[in-house]
Amino acid sequence: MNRSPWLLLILVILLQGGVFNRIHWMGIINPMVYVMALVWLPLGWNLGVQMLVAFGIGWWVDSSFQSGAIHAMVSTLVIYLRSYWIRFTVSPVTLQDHPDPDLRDLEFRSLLSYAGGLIFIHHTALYLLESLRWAHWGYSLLKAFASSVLVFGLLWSTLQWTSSNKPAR
Amino acid sequence: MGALAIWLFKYRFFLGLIFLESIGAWITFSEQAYHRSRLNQWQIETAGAYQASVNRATRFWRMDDENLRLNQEIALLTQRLSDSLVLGDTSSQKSRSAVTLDSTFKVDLVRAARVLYAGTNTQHNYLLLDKGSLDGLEPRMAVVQDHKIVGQVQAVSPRFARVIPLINTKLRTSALHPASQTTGSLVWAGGSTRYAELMDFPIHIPIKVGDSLVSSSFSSVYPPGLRLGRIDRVETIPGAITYKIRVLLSIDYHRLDHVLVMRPVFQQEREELIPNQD
Repeated sequence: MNRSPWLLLILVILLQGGVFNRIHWMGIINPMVYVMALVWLPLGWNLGVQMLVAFGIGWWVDSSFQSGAIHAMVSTLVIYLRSYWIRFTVSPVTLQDHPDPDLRDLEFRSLLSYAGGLIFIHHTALYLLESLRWAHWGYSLLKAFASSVLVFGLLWSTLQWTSSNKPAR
Repeated sequence: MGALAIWLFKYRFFLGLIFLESIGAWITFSEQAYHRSRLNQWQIETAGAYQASVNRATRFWRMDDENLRLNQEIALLTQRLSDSLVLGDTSSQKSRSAVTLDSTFKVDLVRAARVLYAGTNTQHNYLLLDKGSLDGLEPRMAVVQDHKIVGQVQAVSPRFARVIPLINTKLRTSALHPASQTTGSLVWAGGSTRYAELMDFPIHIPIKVGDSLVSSSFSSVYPPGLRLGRIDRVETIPGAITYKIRVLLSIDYHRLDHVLVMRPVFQQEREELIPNQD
């Protein structure tokens, strides 16, 4: 593991509270960029520690949204699912060589299915939990999809930018 | 014991997830009024759906008695509708037709409902009806059967309503003793579902076993004159300024199937003038 998640973690949490909480484009795009930090957390950490960190991040976001603890619940769920999700979305060969792969080393298709999938799961669970009405599932899915596309785009851009500054291995 | 420890260790992360999610859910439902209200509605809907299926399964066996009683009620209502006063658009299915109960009191919405569940075993009993907000039901509407008070609507979901009956220790109902035109408070202290107590009835007023009690005009929920029960036992306590009175309730909650839900006219206007007790 040669990456530190703390800088990104602090950055996206500050951005979430200061900028992205206020974004409600067309009533459907309300990106939760802090999920990038969850995806970025090292898989090598103990899962219990990861879940506690995710719960803490989510709760911090909840306190700025005044939303109870729904972000905490969803973040914990995403972190728990992540260790299983990666086995379905990243090739076994890659995982054999790098059990905790750096996102910058993943092919775009793997990155899209792994990180994009987790981001979509996060947003979908969040908006469903937020509305708590099955009748609104279509609207929740639309919001989740639109916001996930934006967050994934930001993640991909961040990875591209950091890749250019990454020392060669 | 060892097997349990192995099982707990094996699923420790999943159990951790359940624990954290439970904490999150507890915080959310404690802090968020919207989520609490959705949970409440979901509970009513679930209980209603379950009781509706139980009710469907057992309804056939009670059909004869119920048909007879419903026919009698239809005849009674038809008689009353002859002097009804139309307040709204009668072409609409949900129009509000005012039905005169007596010469002084009118209700502007009446709905027949089926009792899906009638709890009688706890201190805080409740009933569940198969009509909800989609049928125009709202909290604080009166629930009656054959001119007898059953209780009042406490909460509604789109398709179901929860009723707080007289046999709930939280409910206190104003009761009029017609013979003396004196009011007291009818409360249920638990125990038998057939009996309640009449409180605050002054000892200088003559009262005897067999006297009837009806709803008083003090209540904004119930139309006045509906039967509550009959005096079953009167005791005087030395030094006390009120009687100790046991009342035989008119409604038998063990034999409750159909009810009418009604709202007095101008209820909202009347309640707006009452200072908020909160």
